[in-house]
Amino acid sequence: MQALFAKELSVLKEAEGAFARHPPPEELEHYCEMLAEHYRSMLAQMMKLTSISDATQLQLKRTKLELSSALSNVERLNRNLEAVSQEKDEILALAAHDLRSPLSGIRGLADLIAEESAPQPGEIHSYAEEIVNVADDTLEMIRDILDIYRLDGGAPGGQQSESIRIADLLTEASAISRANALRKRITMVIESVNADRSVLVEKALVVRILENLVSNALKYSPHGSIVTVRIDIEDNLLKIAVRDQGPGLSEADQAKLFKKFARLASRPTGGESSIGLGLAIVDRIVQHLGGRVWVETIPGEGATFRVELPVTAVG
Amino acid sequence: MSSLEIPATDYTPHVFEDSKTGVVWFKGEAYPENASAYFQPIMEWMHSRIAEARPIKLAFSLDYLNTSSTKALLDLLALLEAYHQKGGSVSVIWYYQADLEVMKETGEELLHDFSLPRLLEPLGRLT
Repeated sequence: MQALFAKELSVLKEAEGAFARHPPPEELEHYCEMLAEHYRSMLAQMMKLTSISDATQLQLKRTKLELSSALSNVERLNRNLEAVSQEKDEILALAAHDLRSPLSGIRGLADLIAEESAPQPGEIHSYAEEIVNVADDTLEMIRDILDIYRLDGGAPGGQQSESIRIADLLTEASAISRANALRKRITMVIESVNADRSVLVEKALVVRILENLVSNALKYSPHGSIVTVRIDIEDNLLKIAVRDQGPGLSEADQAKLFKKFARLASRPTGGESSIGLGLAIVDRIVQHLGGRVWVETIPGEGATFRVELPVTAVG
Repeated sequence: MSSLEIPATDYTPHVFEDSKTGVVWFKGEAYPENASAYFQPIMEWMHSRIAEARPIKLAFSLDYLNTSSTKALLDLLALLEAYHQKGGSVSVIWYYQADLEVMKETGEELLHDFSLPRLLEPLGRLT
């Protein structure tokens, strides 16, 4: 630090030497001494300030370097994780795809056995029916896995928009999981204020949203309760609401509801299986269609899933 | 006269003479551990330029200057000011990132008490 202020230090030294050699007149002596002393202390302070602020600035700079290196580590890790996750998705999709044919074969043969044994209902017949049910559930899971893989890849299948009446959408909705509703004695209520109107939509995708929301509602509804499906059109928005009287959702569950393979605290009420893809699929389809999906729920008092999709009304 | 070339480090700027234009550039950040030692070869180079009565053009493009390099830079500018007062040709361009207002102010402040011809130029602005 002395070197940085070498000029100022030597000026001081020279001045002091000159004062010693040629003492100033008495009336100025005090001022010369005062000036030199203050100059000296000012220089000392200046050097101190400079070295303190240099040290602080250097520390900041080091922290900045550490932060940027930590950031690039995190970015690298993130890229690795994304690659691993994609690889996992691919393996899963591949396995699911390869399982589908043999499973369909098993289901077909079990169905045949069930039909053949129908005239003499007994253990064989009920086992065969059970195999058919389990195979159906598993095939549905496989379809979900393949769908989410396709949706995450950004290709929901290039559907064509077509005109469909709200009433027809409601019919599709009530046909979904009819067997499950009957088995659990759940009453399905279907509502709309403008069932006669038609909209232009990618029908297969909207039906898939309905399927997943309705089968989800049935899955988590207690026996003998009511599931309400409502579809309205309002200001070029298709509004879907599926309400159940199930246990509702805790805040923790709401946070991860639309994530893939979400494990929630709620359990199906009729022994149904769930791998947590149904709502993730809804979320991705809704995103693809430029709409939004959310849930309104009070724990213990059921849940209402709402979807809003921008559509063109055609009548 | 030998040309000036001090490579950049994480803590010190790249200082070099552009052989085509004769402009001496200061690029990067300045946190030298020992500012007077860092600036010493630069000061010597300036002294020899002045001794040869040659024109001096400086261009600064600094993202940060610590306190002791600010002091060293002020000493450098004072040297050039004296040369300029005696009729030497000196010019300074101070480049600053358009979004770093503080570095514009630093340039204004540094050059404030000198009569050197100067230009303050923003960098990275969309035109």
